[in-house]
Amino acid sequence: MEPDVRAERVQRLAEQLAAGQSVEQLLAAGEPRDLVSLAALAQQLGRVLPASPPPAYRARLQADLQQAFVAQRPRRAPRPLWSRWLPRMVAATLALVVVFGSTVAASASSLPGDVLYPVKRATENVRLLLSWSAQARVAVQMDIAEARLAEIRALTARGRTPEAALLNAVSSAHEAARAAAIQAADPNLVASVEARIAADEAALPQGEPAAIPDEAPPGVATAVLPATARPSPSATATATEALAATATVPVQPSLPPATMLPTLVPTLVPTVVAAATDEPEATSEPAGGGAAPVATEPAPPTLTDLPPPSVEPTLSPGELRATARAEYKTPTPRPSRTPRPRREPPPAPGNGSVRPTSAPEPSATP
Amino acid sequence: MDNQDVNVAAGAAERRLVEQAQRGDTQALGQLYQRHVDRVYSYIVFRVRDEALAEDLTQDVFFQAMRALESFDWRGAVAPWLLRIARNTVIDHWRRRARRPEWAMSVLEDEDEGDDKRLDRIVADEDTEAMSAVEFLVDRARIAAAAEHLTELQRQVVALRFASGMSIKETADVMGKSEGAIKNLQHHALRALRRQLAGYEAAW
Repeated sequence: MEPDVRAERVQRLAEQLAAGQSVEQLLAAGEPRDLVSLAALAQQLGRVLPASPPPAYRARLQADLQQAFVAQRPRRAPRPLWSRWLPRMVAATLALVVVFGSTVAASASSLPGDVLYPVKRATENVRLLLSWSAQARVAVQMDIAEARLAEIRALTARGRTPEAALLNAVSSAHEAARAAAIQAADPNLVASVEARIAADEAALPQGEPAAIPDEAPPGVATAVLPATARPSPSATATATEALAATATVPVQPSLPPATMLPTLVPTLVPTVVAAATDEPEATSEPAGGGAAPVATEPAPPTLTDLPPPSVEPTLSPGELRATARAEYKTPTPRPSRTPRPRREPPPAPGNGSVRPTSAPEPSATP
Repeated sequence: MDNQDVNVAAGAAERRLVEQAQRGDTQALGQLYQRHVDRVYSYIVFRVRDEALAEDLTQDVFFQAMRALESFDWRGAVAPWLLRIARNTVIDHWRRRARRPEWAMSVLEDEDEGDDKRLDRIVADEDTEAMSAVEFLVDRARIAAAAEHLTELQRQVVALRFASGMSIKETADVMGKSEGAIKNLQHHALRALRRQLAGYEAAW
């Protein structure tokens, strides 16, 4: 019998034993004892060799396995790539749009020097690029001019000096608007553009003191504006000049702009007082009595005198100029603080009754 | 054939478990583990003859299988796949240790089926009717001692066929050999074992 045949036969005998036949049946059936013996051994090995790990180990391994399986599960469940990335891309895009949109919105009120200012300007450029028609470009350019003007006003209000580039930007936008209007070949459009440009230019501070009064409300105290408009260090001289110059103007110094001055005043007045005490009660006041005395006392012939004029009788332009000059010519320690004067004028309407409000200052006079 | 139908049904059930586990079903994974942990452990403990080590290696096998489950292609059964991992794990373990225990050594270590045929001739010549017992006093320790005289491939066949309960076909699948080759290895292994066990018998 060939080895392969015997091997085959042993396997078949083993299957017969496994199927329930007995060794005796197989031997009785004439199967070779040698091979039946091997099959019987195989059957016994099959009974003895199977083992089982300790139950505790068995259970613990299963728990560990399932726990690790849960931990790694995110990586399974092979889904198409887009189903995982699409939502993320949509979310990212939305986030971008929201951030970008809100940045643009936030930039709208930014001023030169602000972090978002470049965004504002870039946004304008985008609008311009998206404006195909001449009419649309006119509108955008006029908006841009308006925006620059608003920035100039805002800067001025904060006591900052607008840069020349900002002023130039206004005129460039005007020029561009004008050109676009002409290109549009619409007489009405050209006319309205010219009208708006003229209005804008009228409102534009030319960088010269003379221009400033124009922007200020009609009745504003001329003395006030120059100082507020140009708080730069170099302003000292020009301010004096301007003051003198404007003071000559027959405008009545009885105005509201004073509202923006108060902050400067407090610290200044007292010192002035000390320097100019020579004048005993130049301005005696009626109601101010209470706490005012000390403070009012200082009121020297200097600008602090301005209030009285506003009170009612108002100083004649000539007097005003005189006092102003007197103050500025005198080498007082703080000529640079010229703005001072304006602070008291405001109380124009009420007579002496207003005065008391400024009285609290006395506390500053040691 | 009834038996065949049962196998088909069992195979279908197991395939469902595999698919569920591949979709992340932890319970399905647990059931697959319970179905196969004993046969994996049995294979390993027969090969390494050290229960603590067998527990460690069994754990290795199932963790490897769990990680590879995603890429497992159904080919009719899970057991051959698991036992292939177990077989490689034992071999890797010995490789890492760089030295096998002496009992796992064999002069026929690298023998192939040709060697088995040669062995078969020798054994056949020596076998006598007297050795052909049909009752054996066997226990695991005695078999393990007798198995020291087997070749590596014979030990693998014995472990797969009798410890893990794999069929000839499944064993062939695990070992990457033909069914005929497995039957031959089994035949020679049985002869060698019988000789050893009969010797015990005689010495008793």
